Amino acid sequence: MTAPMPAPKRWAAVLAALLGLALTVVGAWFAAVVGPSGTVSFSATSSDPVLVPASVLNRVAEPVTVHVDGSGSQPVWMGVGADADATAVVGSATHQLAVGAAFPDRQLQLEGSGTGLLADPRGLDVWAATFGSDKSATTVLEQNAAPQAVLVVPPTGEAASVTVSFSRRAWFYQSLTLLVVGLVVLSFAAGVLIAHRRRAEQEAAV
Amino acid sequence: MTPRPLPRRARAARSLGALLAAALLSGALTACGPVDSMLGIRPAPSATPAGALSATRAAEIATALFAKAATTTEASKAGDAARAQVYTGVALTAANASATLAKVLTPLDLAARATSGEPPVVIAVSAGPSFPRQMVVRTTLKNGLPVLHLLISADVRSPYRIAASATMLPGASVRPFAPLSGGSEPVGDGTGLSVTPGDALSLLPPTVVFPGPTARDPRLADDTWSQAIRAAAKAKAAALGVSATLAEAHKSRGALGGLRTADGGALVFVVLDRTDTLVPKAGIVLTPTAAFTALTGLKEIRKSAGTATLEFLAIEIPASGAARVVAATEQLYAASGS
Repeated sequence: MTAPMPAPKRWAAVLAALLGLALTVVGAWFAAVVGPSGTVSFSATSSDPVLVPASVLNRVAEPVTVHVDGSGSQPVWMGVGADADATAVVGSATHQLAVGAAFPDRQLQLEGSGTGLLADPRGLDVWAATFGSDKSATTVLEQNAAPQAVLVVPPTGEAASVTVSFSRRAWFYQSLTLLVVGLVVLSFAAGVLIAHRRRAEQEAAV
Repeated sequence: MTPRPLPRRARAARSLGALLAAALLSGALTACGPVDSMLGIRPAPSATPAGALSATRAAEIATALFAKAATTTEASKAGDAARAQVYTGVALTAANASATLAKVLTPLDLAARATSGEPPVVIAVSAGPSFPRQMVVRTTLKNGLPVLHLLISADVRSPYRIAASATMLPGASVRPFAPLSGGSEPVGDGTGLSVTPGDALSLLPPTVVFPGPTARDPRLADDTWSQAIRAAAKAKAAALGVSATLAEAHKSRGALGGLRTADGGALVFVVLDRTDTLVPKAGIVLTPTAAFTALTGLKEIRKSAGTATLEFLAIEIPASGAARVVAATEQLYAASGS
């Protein structure tokens, strides 16, 4: 006759099953979000100038894509430059500073600061690249030029959305790893519980 | 003794425990810093030791600036305003004077100033993020002589402007700078150089004073510019003969900037202000040059005449050995007389 499974072990198996389920769901969800390219995008909309500093842009080793979209008919201006230069250009003028990127909301977190209008930043020599002839623009920032910042200036009276995309293929594989580990834990725990239940049922039948 | 194998359930429980431990460890990791490194997230770099500008961007800025310079030759208030967008400091004074005097230039003068039309070449940019930022650019004249320019951006909102231009002396050369990607250190106070820029500048006037005697400090090598200045003063005095006296004095207007070369030396741009004073003998009336008349409106000199000329010089200062003037350009900018 087989002894019944002790209660602590049964609870451990249940917890492991729950943990495995959680890991599976999280891994699958994260894999679906980042996709095979491992891309996560964070967006925000503002009618004030937006400064996206190095503390947001230069956190990974891979290139980062910044895309801006104007809401109206006027072109949106975007400048890419050294972090200290862009910060100095903005100075104490009214602007929105990107202070972080919230996940899973996928929101670029903005914090308003400064007073007064930003003096025209176009035409300054500090910009490594500028965009200003279209309603939308995209730039890919290589990390070897870090620390970098991006300044986005929407047309007067209009808003612009700023999207920062981080691509890291490893995130997709990490998600898959999480998914597989979750499945293994779930299967094992479920197997243990099911095997015990069957044995208990067989013993009861005898 | 052979260990007794564990019962199947005991083995399963042990494996499950190990898995749980791994899962809990993962949970602990995700709650703090190590998760960042696991995900490849790192702190943003705080500073860049590289050049303030990429080579491409520096070339773009220089090309645009010199294209603008070529269109700002008009002698008018509008021309002055346009030149203020291209030149800075004493270089702006010289550029405005050059525009004013363009109408009295001889064909020979014009030929000597004609540019080749080749795009400017950026040969050095200052390293690091601090201001003022500098750039050394080379253009070429139609006669083949290279011209060295110092471009300066005073602060984040001040675009690069031409702060000095000096034509390379025949046979002179400049030691190579560090690659643009890494940038070149500014000269600063001249630490590590055989002579500080300020001292080199103060050693120049005694070598070209007229009438003499001249004096040359061994820390400053003789050069073709000094020789030409002395020869020109002697020739002018000889041409005046006994009808007038000529005196030339050179006053420092300061070091404008410069960058360190790759071998630890430096290329420094300085400017001198030369005053020519001409006093006719009693009863003698002299006919001034067209440039003097253009600046003063005077068509004759009875008592005295004075002219002021800016002398832009590029001095190569090594880590050890004598400094040497390698490029020079002068521009008459003021005159007075009676």
